[in-house]
Amino acid sequence: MTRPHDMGGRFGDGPIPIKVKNGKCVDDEPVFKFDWHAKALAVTLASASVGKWSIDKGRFFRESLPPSDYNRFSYYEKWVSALVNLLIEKKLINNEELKNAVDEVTKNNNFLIDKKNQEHKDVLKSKDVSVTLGRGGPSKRENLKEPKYKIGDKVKTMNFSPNVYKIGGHTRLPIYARAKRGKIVLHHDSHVLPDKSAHDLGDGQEHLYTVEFTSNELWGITNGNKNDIICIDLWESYLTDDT
Amino acid sequence: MSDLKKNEGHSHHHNHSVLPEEPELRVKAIETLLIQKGLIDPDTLNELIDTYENKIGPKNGARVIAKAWVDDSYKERLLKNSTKAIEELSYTGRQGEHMVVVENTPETHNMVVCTLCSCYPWPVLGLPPSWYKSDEYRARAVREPRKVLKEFGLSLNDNIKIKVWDSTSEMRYLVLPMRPDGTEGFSEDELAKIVTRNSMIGTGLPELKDD
Repeated sequence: MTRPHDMGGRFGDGPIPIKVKNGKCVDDEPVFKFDWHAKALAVTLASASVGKWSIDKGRFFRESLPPSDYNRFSYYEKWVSALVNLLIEKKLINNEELKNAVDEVTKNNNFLIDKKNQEHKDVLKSKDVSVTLGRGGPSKRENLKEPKYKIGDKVKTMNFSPNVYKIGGHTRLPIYARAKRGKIVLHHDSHVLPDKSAHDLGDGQEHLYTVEFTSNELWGITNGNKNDIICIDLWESYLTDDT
Repeated sequence: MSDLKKNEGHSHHHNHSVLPEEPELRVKAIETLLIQKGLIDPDTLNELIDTYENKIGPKNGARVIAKAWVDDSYKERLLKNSTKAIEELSYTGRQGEHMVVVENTPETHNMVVCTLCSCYPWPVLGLPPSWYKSDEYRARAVREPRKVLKEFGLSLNDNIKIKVWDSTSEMRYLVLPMRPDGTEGFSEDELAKIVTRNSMIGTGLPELKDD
């Protein structure tokens, strides 16, 4: 019941890849290391305006890459690969067109884009970029249901993936925080439930809480630290009463 | 129910195997096809890139922090309704729709991670640095935050409580670092200059230039 993206707490990873000088992190990385990183980001953001997939569906497609690909791909390679899969599922492109495009650019890297079909009605125009980004896509929703929990309540998380709608479906309860006891510390009103939204099953809004866990609860006495706390945002259906 | 529970598939998550190995060509192929099909506009791509390369970045967040340091009533609004207070400075929208500012104190140090992907408050910090998206940070920050912070050059006393915020929802977290000693006469602009990106993620502290 795991996918490769769910890596919180995993053992085996090395030092954080940062530049250190005189014992201090030197933070001078350019925003985009390569031109194709910038293109990958821009193409993904621009396509979303015609594709209209939810942010949760976008995430689900990235984490659904085969584990061997997920692990070897760099960050933006994951983005581009997941984007292709999304565009094909949405029938905005097909496999044959993709193969042709790949042939064209492989033969000639300077391939010039001269032909343009009629523009899609929802295409994101350059003049609308600033307003569109400034508006974003809020996930907060009205909910007539009263919250089940209040700040200070003790809760326990599900001991399995709470996605009961799709086997292997999207969820935001990390595996390291399953079947753990914690305390509600913040209530954020109601938000779109990723477990539904990722699979085109509607918003399914639920009350969203920040739950505080002690490090010892998550990692045990030997690996944890008695002074550390981990706060995780969790939807109401991820939680049960801890009585 | 059987239809609802359909196994979330295989075939449509493998179409990307058509793409060439070379990442640059992968992007080029998909960009070419989408432009040809009229699904994206090349000018829009340039505008998006310019926005995140030059307009939206950690300088925005630094303005928020500096204002909170000099203006107590702003700080109060910021901690009470972070999204609204940040909107006062016109930082809004994509990946910052729902903001929570968490305050460092002598007793508590906050740090932010997204173990499941790379959630990060874009309007105030721009795009995340590559280390934030790395497996190393995502895997280790929640289990051994003290060791991680040491690698950044930040050694915290064992008595200080560390709170790690794993960004699993659309709430986006911004750390309000403590104002350093020796900045008493500083203007808001001068203060903004010492607020580092890492200090707003919680993997660093504000830095006086002579440090």
